[in-house]
Amino acid sequence: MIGTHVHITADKIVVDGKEVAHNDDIIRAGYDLLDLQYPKFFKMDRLCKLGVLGTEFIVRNNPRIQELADDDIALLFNNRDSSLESDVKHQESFSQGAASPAIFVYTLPNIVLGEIGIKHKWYGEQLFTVTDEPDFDFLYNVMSNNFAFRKAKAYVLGIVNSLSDNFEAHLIWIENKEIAGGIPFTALNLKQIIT
Amino acid sequence: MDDLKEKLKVQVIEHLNLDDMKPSDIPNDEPLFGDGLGLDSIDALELIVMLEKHYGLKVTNPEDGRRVFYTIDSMAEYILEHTS
Repeated sequence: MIGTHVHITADKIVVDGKEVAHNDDIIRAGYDLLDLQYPKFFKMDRLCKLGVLGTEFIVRNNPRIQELADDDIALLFNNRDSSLESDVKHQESFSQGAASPAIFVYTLPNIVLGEIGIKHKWYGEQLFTVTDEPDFDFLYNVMSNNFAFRKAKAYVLGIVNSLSDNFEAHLIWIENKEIAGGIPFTALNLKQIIT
Repeated sequence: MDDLKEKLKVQVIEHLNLDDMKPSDIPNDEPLFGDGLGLDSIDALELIVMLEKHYGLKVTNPEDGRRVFYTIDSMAEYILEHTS
């Protein structure tokens, strides 16, 4: 079933339809609201911050996550612009004399999956896909297959994009069983939640 | 000395791309690496480049690096010792 849905935009964080933060500096506001106390967060590029922040709201909203084994929780992310924001910064750093290692380490989109896995010690399946628009049938099939083949018991599905001043993140908690207050796990329902 | 420490915090934030961090988030006496600010070996490279670029100081000995980059306090002391 589909459970918690976190939606982060330029000035708002909405969890299951309820606005929990409203601020022009929404990423910092979300960090402070959760009292994350995770200094490594500040080193991340915005793509990673969005993924880590959104996942944290999911974790805080689902205490039962702690009952799952560290390899039961899988991550499936998708976006349109890959890590282009960090790629451009990396290219710009060349023109300023030397490439910056701190920027270079974020020049792959799937780094966000590693950051989430490190923070929560999750060792399940991970996949990051880049497409012009989310292909909900494909995303649904990936998760369904891994549920069916017992490769995962739960997923954090992330549609997370960041380029220039445009950023938006959807993080959704999905389990292979009943979730109180959840909705049926179908490609159509995923599409309706996100679009 | 206090001005230098504040300037260092701004430079650390800028060089390490700590976009959402404020200077007030960095205590003068808290370790920059490990449990404190959570910096790692990649960031150490950035700090070495930063010190050379802004203060003309080259830290080449790893043992010196551990001592110099321990805290904002230790960085400021090192700069004052070697630039005045």
